[in-house]
Amino acid sequence: MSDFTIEVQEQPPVWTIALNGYLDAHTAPRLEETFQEMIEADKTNLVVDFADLEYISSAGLGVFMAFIEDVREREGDIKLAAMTPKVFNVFDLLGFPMLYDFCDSTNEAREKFIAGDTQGAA
Amino acid sequence: MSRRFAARTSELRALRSAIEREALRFGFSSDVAATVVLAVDEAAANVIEHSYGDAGLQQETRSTTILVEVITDDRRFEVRITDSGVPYPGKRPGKLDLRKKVEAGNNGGLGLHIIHRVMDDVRYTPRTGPSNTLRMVKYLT
Repeated sequence: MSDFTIEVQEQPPVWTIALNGYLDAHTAPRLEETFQEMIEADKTNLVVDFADLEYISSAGLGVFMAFIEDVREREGDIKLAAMTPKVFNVFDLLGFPMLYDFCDSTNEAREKFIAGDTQGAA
Repeated sequence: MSRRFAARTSELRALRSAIEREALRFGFSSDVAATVVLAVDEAAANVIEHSYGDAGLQQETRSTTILVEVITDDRRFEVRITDSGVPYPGKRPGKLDLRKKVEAGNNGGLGLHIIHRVMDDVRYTPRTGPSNTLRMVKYLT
C-alpha cells in the first residue's frame, strides 16, 4: 500500500481533499500538485479531510502555507477538518490555528462555505 | 542504536519507526515520543534536501547515507545525525512570524523551528572534519 493517498471529492461549490497515510518530505510534492490543479481549475472552496492522516511534518505544513494566500485572493479558503489530536499538535506547535480555520468535521467546514464564510480564521 | 539510512526522503518512514521504538523503550510517553520522532524527521529531511541537495544527483540514484545514533542514559535521550554533505545554516532560528511568512509566500525553515521547540538542547557542528553532526537532546521529566 502507498504511504500516502489523496482523494478529491467533488461536491460543488465545495471540493474535499481527503488525505490518508503519511504526509512528509517524500509525499508533500503530490499534495502540492493537487492544490495547483485545483486552483488552476478555479476550485478554491477547499476542505481538507485529515481523518485518515497518520502523520504530518513541516513539509506538509508548508504546502498549506504556500497556497492559502492564492486561494483567499480568489475569495476561497482552505479549511482543515477532522484532524486527530496528534496531527493537530504539529499545526499548533507553530501557531497555525491563528491563521487557518480548523473544523471538527468536514460537514462543518462544508456548511461554513455554503453559509458564505470563506475567511475562517482572523 | 546506530544505523545508516540512504539519504533519500523515501527512507524517512523507516527512520521514524526506528526512532519511535527507541523513544518508547527509553520511557517517553507516546505524546513525547511523537514530538521526538517529528524533530528527528525534520533534521533528516533537512540533511537530505539541503546538505545533499546540491549533489546534482537524483535522490534514488545517490549512494550517500546519513548515520543516525541514539545515545541514552537515565534521563537523557540524545539523537546524533551525521552526514558528509554541504553544511547548512544550523543556528537557532529567530522568532517565527507565521503571518509574515505566509504573506511572503515563504514556507521554508519550519523544520528548524520545530526542532528547537521540541528538543531541550540542539547543537550543530558543521564539517570540522569529513562530516557535519547535529546533536539533539530530550530529557525525561
